[in-house]
Amino acid sequence: MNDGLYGTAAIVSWLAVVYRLFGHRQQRFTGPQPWWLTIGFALGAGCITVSIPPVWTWVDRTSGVPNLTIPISHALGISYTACMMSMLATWTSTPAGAAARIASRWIATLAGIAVMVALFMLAPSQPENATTFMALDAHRPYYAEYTLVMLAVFASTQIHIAALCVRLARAGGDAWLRRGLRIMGTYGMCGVLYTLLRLADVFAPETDYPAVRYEPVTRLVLFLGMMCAPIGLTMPGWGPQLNRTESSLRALYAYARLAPLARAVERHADHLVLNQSAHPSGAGLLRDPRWHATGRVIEYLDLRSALSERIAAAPVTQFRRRARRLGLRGEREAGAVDAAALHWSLARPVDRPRFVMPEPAAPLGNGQLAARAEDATAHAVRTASAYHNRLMMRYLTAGTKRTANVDAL
Amino acid sequence: MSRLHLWRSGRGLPGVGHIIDDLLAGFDRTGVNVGPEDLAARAAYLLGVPVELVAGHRPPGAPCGLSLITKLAVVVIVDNAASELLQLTATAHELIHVLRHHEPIRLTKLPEPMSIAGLTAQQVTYIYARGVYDSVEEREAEGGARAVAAALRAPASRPGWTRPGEGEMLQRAAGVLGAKDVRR
Repeated sequence: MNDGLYGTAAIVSWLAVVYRLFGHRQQRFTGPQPWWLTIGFALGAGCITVSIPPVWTWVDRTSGVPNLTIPISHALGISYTACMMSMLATWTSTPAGAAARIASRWIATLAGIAVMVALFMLAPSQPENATTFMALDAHRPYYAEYTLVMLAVFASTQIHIAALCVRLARAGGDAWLRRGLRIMGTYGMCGVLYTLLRLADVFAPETDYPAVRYEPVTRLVLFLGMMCAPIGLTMPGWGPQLNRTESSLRALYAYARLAPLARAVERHADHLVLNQSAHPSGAGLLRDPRWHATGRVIEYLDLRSALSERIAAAPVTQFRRRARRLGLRGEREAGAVDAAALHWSLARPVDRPRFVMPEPAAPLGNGQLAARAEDATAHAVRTASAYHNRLMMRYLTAGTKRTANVDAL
Repeated sequence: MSRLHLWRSGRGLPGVGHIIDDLLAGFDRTGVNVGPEDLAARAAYLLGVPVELVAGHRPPGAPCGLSLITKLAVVVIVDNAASELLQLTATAHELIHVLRHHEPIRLTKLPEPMSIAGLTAQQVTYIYARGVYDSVEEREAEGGARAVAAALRAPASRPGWTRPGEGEMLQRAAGVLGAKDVRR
């Protein structure tokens, strides 16, 4: 169990280190002390890596000291939390105040590590145990004191981290920053829970309940905490990229679905085709799919504008009645009716449609333009889907005749 | 200069806690050397646009402070004949209007012409038609300005005011974590 959980957490932690190092190289991080976090991730990754049983065994056998990994991993772990506290101090204090808090935190951490090492050296040697050492031996003389010192240094940071991150996540910031801070708050809570469970290990012999029974819970809590920190604290950086990827995929999907309308424009009004780059191939499309999808929407709107007089004469009421007979409602019905009107207008060869400059739209506020563009794209996609359905178009437009007005155009 | 608003100082009550926190964050604990220029620099950092302080002469009945928002900068005009504390308060008052995104409710005429150094004739013409806030916004700005002035001129032992507000903490977090944008 330890192999899989700790191995996964170690991989995620080292990936976070690599991500941060790339970020430093690209100068993506700004602010007073971004290196605290990068160094902290490296220490956390080291802590969880040496806790993987095969690595633990290798370290012990190489050094010749049984269970030497215990003080090593704990020293790395509390140094990791000290780095987190140092980073948080730069957020919550003035530069002078942060320097004082960072100094006091590191003095306490280094003093704690010194005491822990001394107690470990004084403690009688125990057989190597790479999986359940804390559960079985944390109550023994010196190891109990060792554990209490370690937990005292560790727990004092976790409560602060949890409280601050939850508070900041509720205060605002962009969505990914809030998510990241909430996950970091979960890390702090896992730290508090881990402290309580390890404290229970120390006092387990006083009760009749063996610590080994809840050791899997302790491991899960540690695993969850070690996953939360690297994910939560890198999420504000890579999260927006996910949004952009999703947006690009949606645009690609819209571009593909708009193909029937694009073909209609090319066939009946090729002078309305925006330019060759609106119909790219391969890399050009992948580079900016939203631009190309919007190009197809504009072509379609231009075609509608050019055919506006014909479309105005189309028997829309009949199209709508038949569309409702097909079970179409709401936006799908509107898309089908628009497609039928377009199909009806283009049903036989017409003169080159004249382009009519549309009326200028009213000024839009922040965000309204993007929302309107998304609505237009979604409607064009629905129209294109209906237009592509030849059976539906035949049914909707069957038996309709052009009026004299239309023929006179 | 397409969008230009003008405001005047008034009286009021506090209601802008996080703005005060953000405005005061970063100054050392004594605060005695912090002047209107430092407040303007701090506001420029928070707003992301330059904030220019312009000394003006205040005729009788005219407001002690005025501010103009253009696309390029925020200009704060303060009466240079007023006391140092009044200049500090007026500057803070105008900056709180800007930081709170207050919108003027109407335009009125100033009681009499003003001569303000450092402004073009066009800008002075705009000043004659100034924007006015509602009483709630004026109370917020004045209450906040007095709190800022009190914090900066209070004894150094006054606790708490040097701690950054949540907005400032989020900005720092965003910088360290690589978040692109911080919006409340």
